[in-house]
Amino acid sequence: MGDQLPVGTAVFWATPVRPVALVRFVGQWLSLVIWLLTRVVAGVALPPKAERYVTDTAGVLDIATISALNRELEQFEKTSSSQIVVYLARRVPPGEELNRYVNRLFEAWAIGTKTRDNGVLLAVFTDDRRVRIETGRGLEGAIPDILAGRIIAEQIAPRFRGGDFAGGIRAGATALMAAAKGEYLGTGKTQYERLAWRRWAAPGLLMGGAILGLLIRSVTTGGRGWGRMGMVLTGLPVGAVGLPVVVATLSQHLELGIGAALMVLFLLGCFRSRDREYHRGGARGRWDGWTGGGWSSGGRGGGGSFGGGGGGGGGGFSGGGGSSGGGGASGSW
Amino acid sequence: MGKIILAVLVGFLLLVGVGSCTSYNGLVGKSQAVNGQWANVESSYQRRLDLIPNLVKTVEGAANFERSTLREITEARSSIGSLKITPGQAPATAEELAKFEQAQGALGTALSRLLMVTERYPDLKASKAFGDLQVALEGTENRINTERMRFNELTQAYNTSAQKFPGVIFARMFGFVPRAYFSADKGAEKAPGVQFNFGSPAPAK
Repeated sequence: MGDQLPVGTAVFWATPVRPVALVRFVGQWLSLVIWLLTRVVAGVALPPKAERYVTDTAGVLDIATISALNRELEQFEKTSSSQIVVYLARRVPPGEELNRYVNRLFEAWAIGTKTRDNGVLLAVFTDDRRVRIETGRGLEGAIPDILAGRIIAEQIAPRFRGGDFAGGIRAGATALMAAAKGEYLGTGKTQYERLAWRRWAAPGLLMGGAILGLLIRSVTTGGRGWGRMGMVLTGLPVGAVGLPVVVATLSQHLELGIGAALMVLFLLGCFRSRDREYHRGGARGRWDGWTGGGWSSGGRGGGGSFGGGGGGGGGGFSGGGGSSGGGGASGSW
Repeated sequence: MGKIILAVLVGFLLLVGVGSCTSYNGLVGKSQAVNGQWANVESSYQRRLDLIPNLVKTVEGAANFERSTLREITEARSSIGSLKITPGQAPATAEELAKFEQAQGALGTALSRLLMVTERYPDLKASKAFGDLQVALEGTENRINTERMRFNELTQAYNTSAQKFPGVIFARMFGFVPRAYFSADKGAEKAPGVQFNFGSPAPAK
């Protein structure tokens, strides 16, 4: 296990524990690895899954508009179960064709519920001056292509032409909501709320496992055999509980899953290093050194990657498994 | 000693049995997925066919619209109607699929020619009915492309597992033959170039 943790554990073994430096070091290391892994796994072409209803990577919308729209669209999902998502970017990636790219994005974000396919993706590419409304199969009746085309031609394009992106998006979203309203009944809950447990399961259980481990260690600080026992007992819950959760989480929130997996490794590394120290006969501050260096830094280091999802005003967005068969309309301005 | 050999033998047979079951089931599932997707492909093409009477009617209304273009479309449409393809099942052979593709491709070409000809009729182009039809047509073309692409993806998944080891053994045993693909964007099958520019041309930024 130690061989697979070249940086973190080596430092841990070699130097006396200096909590602050260690926290910073591990934090940076973790975030770098997470970033690299998400690059590799997610592929190059598609942007990461939307966490909100409105994603503006082109930077043309003001915060007030974004949060107002987020609230409106969240409310709409609650009452209708239909998910309307807005995505703004500067341009369609080179080599990609607009319709196909937006369709792939729709599929990747899985907009709409799985059984109803009631999602809509309004995608705007500001530098290309192109816009597309992609409708899920379940909303092709409520928003036929012709209507989608008219919403672009009459609501969105004229405002965009005048440089009013916020107005165009709002008018477009309002028209889409008006058209999709009443097609399906909502449950009063969003998909994001329904999946809340997933976001907290991994870190929660890991923390629980770590605390349990602490308790066991504190009880069994006796001889060497007991120390071993404590290690095994700690490792078991962390590993057995953490791993499946990590796998489950990976599908939904990649970063979080990887963060959790790294934390498992990190914690195990900490236990090992502490073990080694024990053998050398260094009796100093085993309790403090361990908690200060290992546990809390693990928590802090992971914190960065866990934060992203929740919190703050209008709730988040989470796709429900919807699919699109290429319905909708495209236009330019 | 004899017991060990027996145990190994039983284990091996069990492994083969379980392996063949999962492999067979996997092939059946993937084959069904291809057939299911074929239904989507057909319905997206059907959608285009259904649009044509409407399109023809709208265009006919325009003063002295060229008859030859319209005749081409109706002919292509009827030739598709005479195609004999088992509904709900993807074509078994590459020839069958090619025939289907050819007939549909002829219609696609005729449609794109029609749209090109309409450039000469500004009154028609400006009419709302025609604008809506254009949007509908573009929508169906896009659906066709999407469903074809998925059909190819699913066919690839099926073919891969029918040709890889150990699947290939059971595929041969149970008669799972590789399926045919749609050709990628042949000239005739490309979506007719429906271009939209709502209102004014894009002003320079």
